[in-house]
Formats: sequence, structure tokens, C-alpha cells
Amino acid sequence: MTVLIVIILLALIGAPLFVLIGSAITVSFAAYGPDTDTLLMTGGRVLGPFEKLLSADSFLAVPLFVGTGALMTEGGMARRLIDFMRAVFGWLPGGLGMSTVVACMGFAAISGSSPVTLIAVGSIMFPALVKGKYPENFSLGLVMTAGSLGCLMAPSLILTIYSLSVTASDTAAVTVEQMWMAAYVPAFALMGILCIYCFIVGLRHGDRDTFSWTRLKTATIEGIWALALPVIVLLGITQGFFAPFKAGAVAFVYAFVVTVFIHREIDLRKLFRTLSEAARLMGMLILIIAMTFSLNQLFAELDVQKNLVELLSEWDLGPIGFLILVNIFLILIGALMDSVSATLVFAPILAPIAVGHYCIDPVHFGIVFVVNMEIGYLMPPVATNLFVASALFKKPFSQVSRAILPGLALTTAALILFMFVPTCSKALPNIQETGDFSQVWQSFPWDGDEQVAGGRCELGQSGSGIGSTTKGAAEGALTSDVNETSDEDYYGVDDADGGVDELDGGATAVEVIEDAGVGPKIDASNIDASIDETQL
Amino acid sequence: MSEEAPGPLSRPEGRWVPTYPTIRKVDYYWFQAERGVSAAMFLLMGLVMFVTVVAEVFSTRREWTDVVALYLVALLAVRTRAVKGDERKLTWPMAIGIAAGLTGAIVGAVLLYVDRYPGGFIWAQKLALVLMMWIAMIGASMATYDRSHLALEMGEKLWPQKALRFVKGFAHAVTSAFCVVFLIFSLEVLKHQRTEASLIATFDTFETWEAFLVVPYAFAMMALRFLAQAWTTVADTAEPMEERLPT
Repeated sequence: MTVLIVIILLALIGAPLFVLIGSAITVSFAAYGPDTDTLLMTGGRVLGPFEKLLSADSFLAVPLFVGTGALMTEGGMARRLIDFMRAVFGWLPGGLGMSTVVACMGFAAISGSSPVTLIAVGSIMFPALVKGKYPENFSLGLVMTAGSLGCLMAPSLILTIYSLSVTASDTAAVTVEQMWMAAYVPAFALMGILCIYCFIVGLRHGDRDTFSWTRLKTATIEGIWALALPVIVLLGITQGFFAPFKAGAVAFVYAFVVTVFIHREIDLRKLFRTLSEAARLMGMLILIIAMTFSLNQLFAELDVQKNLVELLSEWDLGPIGFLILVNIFLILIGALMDSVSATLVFAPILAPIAVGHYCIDPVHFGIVFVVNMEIGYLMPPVATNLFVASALFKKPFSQVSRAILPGLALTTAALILFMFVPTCSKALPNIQETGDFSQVWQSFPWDGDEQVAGGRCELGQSGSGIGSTTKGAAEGALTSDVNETSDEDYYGVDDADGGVDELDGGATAVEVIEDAGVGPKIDASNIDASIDETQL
Repeated sequence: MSEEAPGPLSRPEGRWVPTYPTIRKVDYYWFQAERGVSAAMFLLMGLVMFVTVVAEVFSTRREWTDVVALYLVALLAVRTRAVKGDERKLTWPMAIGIAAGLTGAIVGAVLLYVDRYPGGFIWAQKLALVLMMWIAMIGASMATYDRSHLALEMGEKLWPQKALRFVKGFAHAVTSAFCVVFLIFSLEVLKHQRTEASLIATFDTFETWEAFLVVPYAFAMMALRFLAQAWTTVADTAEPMEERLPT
């Protein structure tokens, strides 16, 4: 109750989000958390995730892709992509609208951010659409909706953060690569839906460009470096050259070389300004990210997830009911909170329930979650893209809110499709895992999937998420070896990582897992490789 | 992303007159130093990680097709390089020659590096993580300077216009107090890390507390800046700032 009052008061005065979450954690740890008798203990528990960031290798993807996006945005990539897309699609009915949608997709794949895409592409395309005699509200709604596609195009920040936020879960953990791969079909499907919408509108409104091979050739040469980046990242990962977080480094250096030495749009002064802006963005994110990791640790200790599952069991929801409830909840949350924070706070709670209790595939749930966050960018009153559009195009918020309605309806319809047809998100990961095109289909829990026992999964069958025994034990073993000091010595608590006490004796990760009797003997090298991904 | 931060004594609009000009000036130059340091660290982090990837990929791989691909990319880069002012686009023979030179230089550097340090620098990834921590925490301090920390803005909209500056000032004061509490927490943790002398795994030239040092720094800077913002907001002497677009 005290925590709730603190949160409401801070929200009412408009305190920064990190203060809101951090205060709730500190009050909760002090009031309910075990082992917080001294300042060091409380501080150690609250600030633990800051220190753990020093071993979270996969987290490096976030700053590197943020830096890449910043460089590409400042380096004039949007203009080049738009020229290319107009050369390809501009001659079709609704071609200018289609160019906007596809340019947004292409740029989102580079920048990884929806608002940045809206600013970069929208600021060029909105005036062009209006000048091309498209209705103003259609143009406004289109650039906002297309800008939100950034959520689903690899290397999207939200997809990456979703993956990082569920890494600690035994059941719901998904790799960044799986999320990126899974998002392609939904992203292209949404792009297709928006293009059809443009085509229909374009039959009655709007000018059309004349097709020209010369223009296409010039635009292709100009845009080739921007178009190649997503391909390099994707091929590098799928061909096994580098891990997704290392792909960030490749993309960063690529963006640096292209913008500084080839396009020559970034000089030394601009380079420093751009990178310092990226650092500022990281600063805004890091506090929220670290605080939400503390929050999740607290949730685990307070059995929030277990209590939530008991509540849901009483309501007797099936997978469909659960997903509908989650969607309504996430859309509401997305309308009140920014998507990164909402993902960090709610994904680690909801994903293990979806997977462990309702047998929903973790990758599929991840995509449904992210599409909801995408809708959150568009849903008034706290819709980031609407605020950006209102400020950018100098339009009243009421007009922007009206203009978004068709785009919102289309995105929601797509969400329903993705939700009930898991194949949309699982097709590519299934093919990648099995190499067999006949394995494209992914069944939903209601149609007799073999995982389902009596209509639902048994919770606890494969762990209950945050801090579960086996993975938590493995992490604990490695951490205790690496740091040469136990949690008890360090924070004055028995088990800050959610590991088991016996680990302090110095057992190795493999011994612990074998002792726990979970499955076959495990190859130590695999554990060591995967442990990098689970340090948070 | 391209917006410039406000200057120390800039007067963007209206009747705003800067108060405490010396403090504002010091804060401005401090902010500029933070920008420079964070940008340099960002560049270093990216390059360090890239070098790690190069070492991993090419320590065992020797393919002629890679050299050919590199040459074609270099040729494309030379041919599509933007031409500025009175410069002239390179002719094909020149481009072919420069691309060959570039390819030779890159291949030579990579071979030299992977032969000398097979597998790369074991500490590189950890250094990148330490840099990431420093970049992000300095960035948090910078975000305080230009008031761009994420907040639930719905709260502000509930208050009457007259009360708004007091509410905002109170929010800044609460945030400053919060940062002081976290500064104390982080100093306690830092003290403990120093006593323990724990090392960062695979990067034993650095102790954990040295990497962690930036956390109390950031909370201290944020506490000071939020306190100053609380004061100037309530006193109605805060510098008017344009609404920032999200990045």
C-alpha cells in the first residue's frame, strides 16, 4: 500500500520514471525485502544490477545500435532511402504513400527506433504527400503508423530489450536473434497492409511520379550503403560470423565509415555531437533499465508471479482469454508509459506466465508483446509518435489523434492476426532451427499441441522464471568463482542472485545442474557460452 | 538528434534573464566536457568491439573470396564517395588503384593483427562493458542538464497552470533527494568494493570499484542539477527550453 501511494504521488507530480521505479524498489526492499538491515545491504540490493551490467555482454547491443542509428540519421540516410523508394514505387497509385511506408521500414531497420524514423522520414514525406494532393489527415496518420514499424524491424531497440528483459527466465528466454528473425514476417505483413491501404486511397487521391530508369539507377547508387546495412547485419548473424550484440559493433563501424568517409556528411564536430546525443539517450535508458532489473528481482522475492498465476487460475482463462487480457492490459499500459519502460517492467512478469502456464511459444508471445508496444506508440493519450507528429508538423493534438484512427485500426487488426496465428512469428525461426520448410506451421495451444497437459501447462514443470533454480544456480556458481566472493560476503545476504546456498561451497555450474537432476549430462562449454546471455 | 544544447547565457525568447551566470557558465562547460568524454568513449567502445569481431572471424579464416569481396566494396566506396565543392569525381583507373591500395592496407593490418594477437584481446569485451557503463552514467548526468529524462507527463497535465511551476519544482527537489539517497548507496557499495578489491573478470588491470566510480559521480551531478532546477523553477528563473523531440 505504501509503495502504491509513493508511485501515485510521484506520478502525479511528474517525477522522472527512474525516480518512480527506484523509489518503489527502495521502499519495497526496506519494507518487505529480506536482509536489508544495513545501508550497505539495501544499497547493494538496489544497485546490484548496475554492477551486473559489467558482465552483461549481450547488453552491448543496445548502445551500439543506438549509436549506429544516430550516425545513420545524421548522415542523411533517410533522404537517400526516400529517393530510392520513390524511384521504385512512386509511379503506382498511392505510390508516394507506399514509398513512405517502405522508406520507414528501411530506415527503421537502420535506426531501430520508431520516433527517430518518424522524424527522419516523416519530416520529408509528410510535406511531399500533402503537396502531392493526398488528404492531410491520411498523410499524417500514414507517417505516424509507418513510423511505428520501427518496433518490428531488426535491429529494433524494443525487440532487443524484450529479449534482454526475459533472459533470466528459464521458460520464456528468447535470444535477440530469434526475436529479430521472428519479427520479419509481421513487419512485412504490416508493411503490406499499409501499402494496400495507400493503393486504395491512391486510386482516388494523389499525384503519381513518372517511372524513370535513370532516376532508379541514380537512387540505387546513392542508397546502396543504407540498403546494405540490414543485409550485412542479418547475413553476419545467420551465417554465424558474429553474435547479435557483436553485430552492433559491425553496424556501428559500418555507419561510421559510410557517413564520415563515403557520404562525408559527418565531420568531426558533428560526429562528437551525434555520439554525445546517443550517450544522452543511453543515460535516459540505463537508469530505467537498471532499476527495472532490481524491480524484477524484488518481484521474484515477493512471489509476485506466483500470486498472479494463482489469480489467473481462479479466473480460469484459457490461452485465448489470457492473450486478450494481456493485449488489453498492454495497450492501456502502452498508452500511459513509454514502450521501453513498459517492456522492461512487464515482459519478465507476463512472459513466464504465458509460456509456463498457457504453453504459448516464447517467441510468439514476444512478438505479440512488441506489436502491442507498437500500438502503444500510437494510442492516445501518452503516444510517443503522436506527440512527435504534433510537435514536428505543428498540428493540434486533437487532429493528430483523429488522423491516427485508421492506422490504429489496421495495426490492431494485424495484431489479432499475429496473436491467433503463431505461424506469422514462428515461421522463420522454425525454418532456421530445423532447416525444413515443412516445419513452418506453428500450432496454437488450443489445437492439441503436445505440450498441453489437460488444457494448460503445469507451472513449475520447467521453472517459473526469474531466479529459478538451475539457471540461477549456474549463474551463481560462475559468479562466485569469477568474483571470488559470495553474495553473503558481498551484500550480506544469502542469495542475491536467486541461486542456491550450496553454491558458496564452490560447486561448478555443471555440477549444480547435474545434481539438480534435470535432464542429460550437460556440456560445460555450452553452459559457458550461454551464461554470457544470462548474466542479468 | 541534431538539436544543440542551450548555451550558458543564451536568451532564446521572451524576457528571460539568466540568474547566477557564473554557476550557469560552469555547468555549461562541465556539460560540454561530459559530451566530449562520452562521445570519445562511445567511439572507443565501438572500435574495441569491432576489433574483437575482426579477431574472432579472421583468426582462423583465410579465404581469397574475402579479399575479392573487400576489393569490390572498396571500389564501390571510392566510386560513390561524395564529391564536395570544386573536387572532381575520381576516374575509373584512379578508383581501381586507390581501391587496390585500400584493400592491401586493410588486409595487411588484419593479418598483422590476427597473427600477433590470435583470438584478439581477451579484455576487449570487458573494456567495452566498462565504457558502456561510463557512457550511460555520464549520459544520465547530461540528460539532467537538458531535462530530457523520461517521465509520465500525465501528472503535470492535471495541475492548474498557476500551480505548475511549484509542482515541477517540487518534483525536481524530490528527484534531487532521490539522487542523494542513491549517491549514499553507491558510495557504500563503492567502499565495500574497494575493501574487497574485487577484479573484473578477464580484465584484471581494472578493479570493480574503478569501473563503478562513475555511478556515484552521476548521482552526485544529477542531485546538484535537479536541486538547481528545483530552485530556478520555483523562483521562475529557469531557462525556457523548447520541448525536445524524443530520440
